[in-house]
Amino acid sequence: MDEKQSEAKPSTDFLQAWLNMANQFWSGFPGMTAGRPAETGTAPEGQSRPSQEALLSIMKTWGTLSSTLSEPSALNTITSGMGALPDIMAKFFQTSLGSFLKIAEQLQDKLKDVGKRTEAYTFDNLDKDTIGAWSDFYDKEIRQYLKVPQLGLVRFYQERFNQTIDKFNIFNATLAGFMQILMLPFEKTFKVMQDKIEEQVRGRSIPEDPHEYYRMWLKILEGHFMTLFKSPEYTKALAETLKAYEEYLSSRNRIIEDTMQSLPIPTNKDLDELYEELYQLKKRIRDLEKAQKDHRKS
Amino acid sequence: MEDKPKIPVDIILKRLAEDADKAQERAKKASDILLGPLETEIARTPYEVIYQEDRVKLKHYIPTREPSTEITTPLLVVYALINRETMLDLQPERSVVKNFLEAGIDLYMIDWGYPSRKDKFLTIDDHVNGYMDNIVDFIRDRCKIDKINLMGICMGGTFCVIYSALHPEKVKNLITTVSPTNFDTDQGLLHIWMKNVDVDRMIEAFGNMPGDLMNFGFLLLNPARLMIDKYVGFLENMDNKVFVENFIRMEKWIFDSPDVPGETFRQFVRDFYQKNLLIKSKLVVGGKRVDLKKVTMPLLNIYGQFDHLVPPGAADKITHAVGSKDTEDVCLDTGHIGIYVSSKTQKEFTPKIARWLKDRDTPKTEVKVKKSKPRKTAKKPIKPSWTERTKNSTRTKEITNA
Repeated sequence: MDEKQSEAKPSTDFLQAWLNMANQFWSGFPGMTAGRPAETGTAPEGQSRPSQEALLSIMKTWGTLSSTLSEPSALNTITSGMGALPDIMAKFFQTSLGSFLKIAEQLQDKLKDVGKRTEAYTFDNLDKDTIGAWSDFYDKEIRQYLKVPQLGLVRFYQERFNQTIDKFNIFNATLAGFMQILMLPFEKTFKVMQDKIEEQVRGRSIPEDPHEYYRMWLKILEGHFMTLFKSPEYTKALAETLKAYEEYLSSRNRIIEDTMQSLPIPTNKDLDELYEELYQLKKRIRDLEKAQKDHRKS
Repeated sequence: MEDKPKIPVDIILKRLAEDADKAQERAKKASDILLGPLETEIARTPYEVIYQEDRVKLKHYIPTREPSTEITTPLLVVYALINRETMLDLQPERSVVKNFLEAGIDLYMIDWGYPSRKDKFLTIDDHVNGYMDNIVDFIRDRCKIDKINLMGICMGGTFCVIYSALHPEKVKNLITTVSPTNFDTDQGLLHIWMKNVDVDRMIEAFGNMPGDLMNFGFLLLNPARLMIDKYVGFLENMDNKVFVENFIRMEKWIFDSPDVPGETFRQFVRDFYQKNLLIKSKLVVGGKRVDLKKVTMPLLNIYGQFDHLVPPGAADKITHAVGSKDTEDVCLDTGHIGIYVSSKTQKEFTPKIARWLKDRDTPKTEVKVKKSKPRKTAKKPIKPSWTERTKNSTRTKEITNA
């Protein structure tokens, strides 16, 4: 017996003892209740009530299950499954930790370069790595769990719910990226301001009025925003953020409708159908009224 | 040794300290103003609602003087579906409505109301050939006239152009103000962004286009001015009661944004911003092609030199595309909203429209125009009577006797 097996043995013994005890307990239980007289006189003598029968059936099933589970072969399967669990968890944490470290590393790199990397009035070198770090992590590590195929009666609803969570996370990640882009003009403006002030110091034309600095800052900021807004990167980020928001909303609306279906409240879909019908009817009436009016005039 | 230049930190700090004192004083005075009674009501010029269809109302403004003998045809103002028509009557001293009434114009205005979910299926056809046409017919019946004067604002101007092309027999004179008609331009950010919008997905998600989302988009057109400097300006002037009142009036108007019916928004983005069908006379509304050559009535087209929503490139092509020989472009030295609310343009905008209408509305002028054989004049700018900047940016096509 190797070291690993000897470590696993106490837990196996404990599980076997517990299963045996449960087996004895549940196997004795149906007998106890079956032997008892009916508490009320409503059931005919010698016959148990349906609820009592159901209870006995559940107990018998559990008794069978626990006796099966306490078989040495089944026990080995369980324990081997349990043994694999730490491996799965370790793998999960390992990959997740790797991604977190990657983000931390990228953030560290970014912090190191603050003030160095920014170039006035150009937005070609957007820090895509940092913007996309969370999205990558989410896409590789978390999203897959939300896409696990659902089973059973409520699989359809569960799938929609997971999809909404997914869309919500994507929207948040996209929005964060978009907000980061919106902050870039501020970063760049401070850099340009610094250069301008240095230039003014050299040219001995430094404004004494603090408002002048504000006006200068605002003008530079406005210029940076205008340059940013005309860049294809911004247009793309705006379109992606809107897309993510709209997809999240549509998805959220679908689960709200699912929930409302069980309530005596009309859903947006129901109302939209009604409104469309009403719209068509009103249009027909207006057309008829106009035709009648024209006919009268002629 | 060279004398190194120094930042006058002492002077700057002294000024800052002075500013801090002033700010403290201002805050004290401002609290009295903000906590006291303020006149911030908008749209105060008296009117009566004389027609209503669904959410759409027709306002008729109570005349403030004897009706003009020179401008006898009533004027219908069609506002955009974005924001509200109250902008034309924001404050008593700067009210386009009041100025029109003082010029003796019989003034009507469409209030589009607040579209709800049940309005999401309404198309441009429903607005133009439905509500607008019914209102025009109502005014024609009420005043016992064949034609009315039509003035459109922004998207409302675009609607007026469509209406005039489809119903030229009902429009005597057409005025478009800051109205987008050419969408194939990169001058405005809105025109760039709209080309990348997936409008179908948008309408599926929102139903109607939310006014607040559009407002956020408008703020993003110039965040430095609209989200920072504007409020810095407020803080600097919050001890001035009149300034505070007018500032709040503007805030009330700007953030009063009805949603735009989904189908109308879809068509506006797709057929106008993305396909630019109107200016090519290829737009189809209510099954009919909008042929701009059918716009044969006199056309006055006013736009702003510094309009960031409807830049000159989006507004100045219409006069060349229509069938009318009597057209005039006027470019004012202002922006999209300033054209209606700035004190400077108040002196130019309504007097210009009143003069233009008077020239075409009095029987004498009408006879003159009818008898004259108009010729296309050179596109050379003719100096207008107002500001320096306008001189360089105004293009005028004149009516002249052959």
